[in-house]
Amino acid sequence: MSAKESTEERPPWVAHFFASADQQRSAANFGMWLFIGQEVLFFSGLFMAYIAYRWLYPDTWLSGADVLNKWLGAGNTVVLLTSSLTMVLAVRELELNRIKQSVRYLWVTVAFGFVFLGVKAVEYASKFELGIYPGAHYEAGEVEGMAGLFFGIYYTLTALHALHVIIGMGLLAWVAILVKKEKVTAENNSLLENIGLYWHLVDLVWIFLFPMLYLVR
Amino acid sequence: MDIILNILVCFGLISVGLAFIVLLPVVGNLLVSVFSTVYGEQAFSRFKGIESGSVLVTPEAPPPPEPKVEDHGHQPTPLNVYLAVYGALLVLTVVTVGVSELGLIQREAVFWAVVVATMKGTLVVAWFMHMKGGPAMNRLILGTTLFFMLIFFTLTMADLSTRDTIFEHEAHWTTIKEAQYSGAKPAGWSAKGTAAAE
Amino acid sequence: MSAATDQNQEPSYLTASTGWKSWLFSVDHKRIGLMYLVATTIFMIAGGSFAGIIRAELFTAAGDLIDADTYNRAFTLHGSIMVFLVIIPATPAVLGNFVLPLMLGAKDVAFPRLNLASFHIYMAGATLLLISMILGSFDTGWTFYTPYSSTTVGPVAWALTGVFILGFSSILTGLNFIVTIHKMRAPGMTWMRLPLMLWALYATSAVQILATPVLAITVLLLIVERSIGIGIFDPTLGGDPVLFQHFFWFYSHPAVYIMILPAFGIVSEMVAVHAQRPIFGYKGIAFSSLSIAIIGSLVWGHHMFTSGQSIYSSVLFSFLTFFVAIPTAIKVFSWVATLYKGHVSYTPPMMYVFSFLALFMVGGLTGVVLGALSVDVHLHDTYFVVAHFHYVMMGSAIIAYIGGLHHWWPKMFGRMYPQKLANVTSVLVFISFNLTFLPMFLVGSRGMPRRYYEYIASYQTLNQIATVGAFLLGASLFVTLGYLIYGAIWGPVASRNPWNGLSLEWRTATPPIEHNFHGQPTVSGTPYDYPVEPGEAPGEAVGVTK
Repeated sequence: MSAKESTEERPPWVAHFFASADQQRSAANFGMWLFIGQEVLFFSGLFMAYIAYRWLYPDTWLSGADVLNKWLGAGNTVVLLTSSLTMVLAVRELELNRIKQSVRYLWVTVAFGFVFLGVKAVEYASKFELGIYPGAHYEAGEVEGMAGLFFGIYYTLTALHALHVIIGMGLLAWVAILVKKEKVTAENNSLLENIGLYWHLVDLVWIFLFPMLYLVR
Repeated sequence: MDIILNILVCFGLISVGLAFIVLLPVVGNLLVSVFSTVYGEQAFSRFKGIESGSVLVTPEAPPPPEPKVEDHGHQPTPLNVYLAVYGALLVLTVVTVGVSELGLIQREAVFWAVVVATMKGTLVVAWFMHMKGGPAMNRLILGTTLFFMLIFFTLTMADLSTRDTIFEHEAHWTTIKEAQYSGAKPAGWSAKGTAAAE
Repeated sequence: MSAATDQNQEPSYLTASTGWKSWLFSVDHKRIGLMYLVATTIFMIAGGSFAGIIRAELFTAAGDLIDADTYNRAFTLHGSIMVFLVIIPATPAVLGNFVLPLMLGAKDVAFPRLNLASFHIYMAGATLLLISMILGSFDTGWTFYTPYSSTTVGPVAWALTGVFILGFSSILTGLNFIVTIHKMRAPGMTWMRLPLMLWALYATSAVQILATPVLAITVLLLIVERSIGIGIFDPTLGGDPVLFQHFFWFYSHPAVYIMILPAFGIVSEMVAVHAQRPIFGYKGIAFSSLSIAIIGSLVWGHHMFTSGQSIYSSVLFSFLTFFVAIPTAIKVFSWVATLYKGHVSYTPPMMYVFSFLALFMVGGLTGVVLGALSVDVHLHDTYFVVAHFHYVMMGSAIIAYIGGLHHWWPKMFGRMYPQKLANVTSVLVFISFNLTFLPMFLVGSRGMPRRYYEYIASYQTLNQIATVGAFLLGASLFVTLGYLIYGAIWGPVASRNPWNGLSLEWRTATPPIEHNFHGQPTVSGTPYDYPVEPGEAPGEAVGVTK
């Protein structure tokens, strides 16, 4: 299989400044991991705020977490984990050159994204009804202490995460179309792999978000 | 207790950091030999025949080392592995929700939540994101990222958690100073240190 | 290699295609570097104008030229423009973009379209900052401290969004550079044969990727705080304003290393080439770049000694700050050792190296002074700090950048600037720089606070010297810009390798062809293989083939 390295024939999709297809693919993968590192640090700011204020106001955190619906949160966790599975299966199907199945798995992943967002919308709506708005606008009386702050962080964290989910869904739809059109193929699958990495990152952030916000006790 | 823990963690971090920096020449030599074996030979083997007619004298490249890395299009991971990882993730989700129902105290609850989340994260990173079996550089990237995150959390918390500590100590120092100025001995103070006041 | 072989019927990158679209949408790293050059120069003039306003106001002790609000806007804009639009992009995006693939023997960076995107993202961020200026500007200081920045009325959100976007430009450039250095080195170029400029750019890019996202989230949180009021920095809702400072400085301290590390790389290159000597302590300089990047990320609290931070963590940060001096000193000693018994030629780049060494010594050492907690408590927010960071940011980073422009200018344009004029101007720059900022150490240690538009009369004489120096400095820099532009367009055609550099960028055509090299160059020596015997003619390095 290493003898099949394209040093002899150069596929047309390899850019002129790369020496080989392998170099292009490993550069793309490397670059994507650097981007993922960067995204982790982006979210780390919000996690820092969470840690700081949880340390300062533990009682608020306890009673705030009771208001959050941990079963919806757990459900969302399962949704995202399953979408990660379908994502990795989509990549695998393309590696095996089964384009139709790959595209199908990609659209299933997008569908799971919609489910996640739907559950989130339900959660938000139920909170708004109770008057639970972020920060200074907090009107409900259910949580003692610095409730506005807790929910401010809750909304900011989950909203930023949801934004990343939306972006991910857009990327997935785009790459599904490209795979269907065979612009992304079994040999030239860097784009699909990298978007897959992005989606797994979105899942990873939620894996940490869920226990920290919902399962405080 | 909090302060001591913080200080220990900080000094732990510092010593790791300093060790890394001080040992960097040694580590550096190691890194250099690793890199030059991995990259040097692969780079040689790749640059044959890029453009016709170029005036190159490429030395006879040694046969490329067994590519442990870019095996992606050629041997996809078996389906069972992915399903097994998925299953483990679901189990861990149940565990983490279950633990939250146990009514542990805050500190333990946080500890177990973080442990389980880290396990789930490791599974996703290792198998879904192909970190296992992938290039070693990716591990370095993620490791460095997490190291920076940890420094951010630890040193900031070192500030936030010790803001009030000085007030606990301030009472002690104020008492000593008052004694030195007025000559009176505060309760429990031994005669040894107050020669000047006498 | 004679000129005839170089004109292999292939036009240089400057003339390979024409029309504004071929520049604005070019994926050629050299053209992108030039576009950054034009942009950063314009922004530097803008930022410098605000500095002129500041110094003009401070010529007299009373606040008579402009009112306090305008003054606050002036120093805020001076800081924001200079930090975000000039210094942080200058060396990596201008010189790095131009020189990195050439030095590696590559045809372009790893992701050329991403490179172009970085440039346009940078311009978008700059536009947003410009819009905030037009809308009345903001007066929070470039540091945006809460709670003032989260409550004040004004176009702060525009500026914050601009900064957010600029952060992405920085991150993507860093990403590009790291992948290029890892994956696209010429055959035979092992890590220990990398030019030191590239080690410096590597460390810089690592810091850009790790630190800038935290700035992004900080700015985002501030925007959310301003618009929705989540309370994260608001004491009345339970937030902590000092937390903002932790967030902000966790990026901004590594940011100053983003500014200075590439400057170190330029100096390493210039010192070796203009003294025609192998660099002393290659491994020391290479690894100290990484060390500085790491240690520099542990010390951000030294900006917060008087902000209400816990005194125990202040002690910790002060202790850690001293360690940065060690790898930095390794570099300085190595450069000076390189000059020893070297064939030093007094070319403009070398003059800038001398300026750099002197000014960086002052700037770096005063940084250690400020790192001492007990001293900083008195010197914080005085002109001593202002003088310190101008010595390192302007006196070291920008001086090295200008020196680097002089060093690579013939490679970029194929023409030489008037060297004697350049030498004289560099001396003028050095003298006027010291005239401007040396008095600031004195007034600062005597208590003159920064960011005040008026001061007590006893500081006036020194301030007047500083103002005179500042305008002289501005004039000298304009002269520099003038002769550089003149040289690029009307100067005498330069030889392919006027300084006898041995790294790969000097082995190709001047100016380079669009794809950099005709074939794939290979390397079997270091770029510092100068012969050490004084009697030998400086010649071709061993083993570098085209």
